[in-house]
Amino acid sequence: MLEIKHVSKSFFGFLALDDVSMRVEKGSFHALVGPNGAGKTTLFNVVVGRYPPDGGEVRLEERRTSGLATYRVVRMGLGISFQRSQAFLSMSVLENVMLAVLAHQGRSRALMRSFSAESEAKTTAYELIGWVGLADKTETPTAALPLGDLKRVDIAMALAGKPKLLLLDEPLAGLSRSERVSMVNFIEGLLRGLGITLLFTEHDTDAVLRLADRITVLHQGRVLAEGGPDEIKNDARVIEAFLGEEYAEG
Amino acid sequence: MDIGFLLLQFLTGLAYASSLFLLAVGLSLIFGALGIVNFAHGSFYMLGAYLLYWVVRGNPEGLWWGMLLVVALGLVIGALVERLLMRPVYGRPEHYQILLTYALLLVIEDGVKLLFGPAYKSLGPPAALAYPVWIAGAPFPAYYFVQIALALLVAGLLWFFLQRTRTGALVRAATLDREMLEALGVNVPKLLTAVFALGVALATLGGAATLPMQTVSPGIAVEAVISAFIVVVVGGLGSVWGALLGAFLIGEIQAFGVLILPDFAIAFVYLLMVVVLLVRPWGLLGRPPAVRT
Repeated sequence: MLEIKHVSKSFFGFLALDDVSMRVEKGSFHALVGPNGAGKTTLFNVVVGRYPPDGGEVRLEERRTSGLATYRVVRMGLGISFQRSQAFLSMSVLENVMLAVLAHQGRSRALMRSFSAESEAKTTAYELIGWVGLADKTETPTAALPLGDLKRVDIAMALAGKPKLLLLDEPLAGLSRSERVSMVNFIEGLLRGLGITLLFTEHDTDAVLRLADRITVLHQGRVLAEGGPDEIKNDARVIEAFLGEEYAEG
Repeated sequence: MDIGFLLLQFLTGLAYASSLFLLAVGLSLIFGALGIVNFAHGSFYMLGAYLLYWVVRGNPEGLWWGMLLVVALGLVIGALVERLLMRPVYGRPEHYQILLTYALLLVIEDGVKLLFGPAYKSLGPPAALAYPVWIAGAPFPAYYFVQIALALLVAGLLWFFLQRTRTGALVRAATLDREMLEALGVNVPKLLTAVFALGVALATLGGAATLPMQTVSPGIAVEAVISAFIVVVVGGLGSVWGALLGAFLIGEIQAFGVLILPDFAIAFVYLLMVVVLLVRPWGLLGRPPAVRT
């Protein structure tokens, strides 16, 4: 699905990514982990087209995406939910999701096409809002939502483009313990059900081990290890660099 | 003071307001979507008047198709200016944009002097409209009704575009968050070029529409941009409806202020601006600075 080949990126002489290669398999939940400064955010920004890589390339379903602008990568099938909420806080849940639907829908059609299709967009938006479990909050201004619900709005907006691959940057950041549990269940239930391929970063190790089929560990801009959750949590190098002893099983 | 006289003053104010609206709405639109304070906006207005004079070769009968042509030229000029000059300074500190648009103001002024000469230009309305309508025993230029109708038409079309088309919805969203739109797969640079081109075209249309009633010189650019700023400060920078409301208030305050203080009517306009700045610094219909959680 997504192939990152020998990607390097440096800023002012600091090598943020050093020959990073990884593959995200279709249908998998792939976690990207590592301590702060390991290069996760830089890699994310390369994948979404914010930074062109200095070397190497990124391919989404065999098509090269590195060097393209974000909107082009999105049109090729990437859904993005950044850590900072992308929702327009002055608008309601419905307005936000409708905007996302309209943004994706009109591309192949006439530029000035009027909102005659507004009802069509509304139907799609209601469906997406139902998926993320906010059906009773369609008219709520997003500014008034708790953080967990705001993330759901973001995810609904990202899903409006029917992405092949969804990128979630720290979906649990800022959430309370109970909100984390419900968010993990939500991601699992919704995205597995939709058959969406997921690439995500997360600091919460428990959540990573529960959600991910595959984990890539970045350390100082390099891939330190890659494997399934069981392999990773028992990998001596990973334990040393990141996890801490508590996750090793005897 | 009878009712007919008040109606006359009201209509005079409305005509002035119409011209102010066409002048200021593009400034507001551009600031809303691009975040750029365009000091050259008055220059595009002035340029529009000269372009009209040029395309109709001084013949008032060509006014209608001339205005259409000026709008088309305005779109092209606006698109080129955005693409070649503005795009490189997005994301730079604001003073880059201010310096750039101020430089543009100077370049356009000298460019117009070079191309069209420093002399004043005037056109006059087409023969079909070159007569006064008598209202309450006083003459009122028929052409003023054209300006009022034009402003209403533009306001209506803009409303339709912004509220009823997909592209309009994206433009409204661009005023809130561009990064977000890009993540939704919207070609934001192209959208911004289109908005800037539209804003410039509206300014050139405003200038062209004034030519039949007003003599123009390159110097009107500065007066125009100051008037435009007053309108958007009152109405709310970035708000199209704010520009409409601001233009209406200022037009009418001018028209009726003249009755109270004939020589200092402008003082009422500044007074309005001061009150708005004190009470609602973001303008009557502007958005207060957003707070993100």
